[in-house]
Amino acid sequence: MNLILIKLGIRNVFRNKRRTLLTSLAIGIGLMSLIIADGFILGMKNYMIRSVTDDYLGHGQIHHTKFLKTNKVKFIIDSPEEVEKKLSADAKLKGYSPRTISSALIASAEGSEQISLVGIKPKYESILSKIKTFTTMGNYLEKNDKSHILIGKKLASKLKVGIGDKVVLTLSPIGGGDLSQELFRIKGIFSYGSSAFDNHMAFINLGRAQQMLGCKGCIHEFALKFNDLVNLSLLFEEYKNKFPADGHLFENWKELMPALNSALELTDISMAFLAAFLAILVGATVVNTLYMALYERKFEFGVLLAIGTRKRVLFIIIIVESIALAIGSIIIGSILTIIFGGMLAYYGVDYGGVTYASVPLREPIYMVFSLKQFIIYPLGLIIFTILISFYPIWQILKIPPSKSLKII
Amino acid sequence: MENIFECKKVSKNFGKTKQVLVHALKSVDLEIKKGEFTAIIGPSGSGKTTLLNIMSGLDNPTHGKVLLKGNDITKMDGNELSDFRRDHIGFVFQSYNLLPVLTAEENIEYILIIQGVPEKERKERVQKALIEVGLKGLGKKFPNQLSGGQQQRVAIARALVGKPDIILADEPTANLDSVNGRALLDMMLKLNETLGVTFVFSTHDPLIMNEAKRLITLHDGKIVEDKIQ
Repeated sequence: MNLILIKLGIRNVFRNKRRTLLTSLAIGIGLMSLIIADGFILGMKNYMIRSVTDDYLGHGQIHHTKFLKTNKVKFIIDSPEEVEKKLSADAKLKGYSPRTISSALIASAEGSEQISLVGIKPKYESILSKIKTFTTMGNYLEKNDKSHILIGKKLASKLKVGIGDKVVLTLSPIGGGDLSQELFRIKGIFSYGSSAFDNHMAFINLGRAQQMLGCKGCIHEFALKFNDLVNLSLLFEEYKNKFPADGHLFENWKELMPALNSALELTDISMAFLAAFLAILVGATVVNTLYMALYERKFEFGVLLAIGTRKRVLFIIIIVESIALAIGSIIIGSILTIIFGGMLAYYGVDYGGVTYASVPLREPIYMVFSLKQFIIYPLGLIIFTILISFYPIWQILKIPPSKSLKII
Repeated sequence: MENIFECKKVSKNFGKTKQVLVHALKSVDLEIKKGEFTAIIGPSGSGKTTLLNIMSGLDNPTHGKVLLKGNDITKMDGNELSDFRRDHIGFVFQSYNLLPVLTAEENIEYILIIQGVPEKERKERVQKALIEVGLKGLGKKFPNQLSGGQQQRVAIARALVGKPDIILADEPTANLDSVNGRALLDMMLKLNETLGVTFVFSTHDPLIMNEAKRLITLHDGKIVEDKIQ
């Protein structure tokens, strides 16, 4: 293609500077909206995943194959020592936490509540979850705290207890028989901001929990956290193979929290809808502008055809024009995105602790920039603009030159 | 003299039903010889525009043949017609119709680009054309920086530079004052006499009518007079 055809297309774009600027601004705002929405959704997804995995769940967990399906305490992990040996030898793991999980009744002088009682190794748990961080009153458990317990803020409120108060835990041992009942003193009160945690969870030392359950060394769950967050999918595959479903199995956070995974997938679908709507908006703007710009120049196109320009060449000239318009819009859109998106990335949006898909949005959600946003979307915009230009071009090119000219 | 153009029994009807059918041209026979300086005259609606459209391949006749150097252009497809216009016909329009975003030079060069002329030759021919139309040194100007007369000269240079067999001009002096109109006509006459360029005009301008070497009068789609002056 000769340079003059490119010149012709580009200079045509700037013939009506105000219209070009307004159109580029409209398309640029569309692009900015798309990038900001994507960046914001990405920020929210990252936050939710990080929140879920960091707060308590870990990136994955190992259980007896039937434990999560039945919630029965008898389904403990076979040979937990061997599992732990494998885990402790794996440098890819940032940490792991062995846990027992059982239903229990917690009672104070003011009332009683059914809870999920988790036995933990305080040091291991502090690497894996944020229980220590969220223990805002009192102190976190220590290795030798045999008769101390951590409970949620709302549970403490219901039981009308505070730091140092006594509660009684009652639970059914794994092997059946008499109920196991012990007195504990509240060492810490945590606040996750999640109703499920703050109302219904309590933590004691693992050894003490095993003792109450009547099963020395038993483990219901190993929660795991990996170092490499970029290649989690590969690590999940590796762990699936490492712990095949023979007695115990590894499940990643997506499998453990299908509702959250669905919510995130729903977010992707919402993003696709948003992109489609913005594409329609941008498309309508491009079609309208090009149609106006081309139609008012139909005489000129008639002249070009009359002097021997093939329709194919004219098509290229107009496509160059569309691409120039798209590039101008991308520049404007990128500048707007950097300004407004930058503000969202810096200040974030505070949701004030609203819970979405069971995840409390405790911290502001920050927009996340990615290279993809500045490559894929602009590229998509150019392709889309070219495609959408076909209609006005076709409309113009189908006018016979003799009709475009009206003279001669 | 060799015939460049031949219209044989050319008719053109507009409209599809009997009620609205317009016979714009009625069995027109016309021959244009190389080097002629011909004016087509006639009242509005006489068929001048339609005849020039058909001669240039911008429109197809309902009946009849249009031959350029013996080749029937009515049988050509879209691309062939584009190439035919590009290589054989130069156009000069009433309102100049230069591309406003290209300089005078670029407007002239455009034809050579679509003809596939190499760059070096293009530049030389563009400068030569500018000199021929008296616009030496004004090649870098955009059309809006030129007067009406200068723009029309650029249009003639554009029509000329591709070395066409014929230049078709639609009322080329209609938008010019008498001084510029006279100057333009003199220039075209000079090109006709020195370079042998064939011109066919549609016009109402008495100046062109007086200077034309051949005067064809159309009335109601028929040639009613064809005289050599």
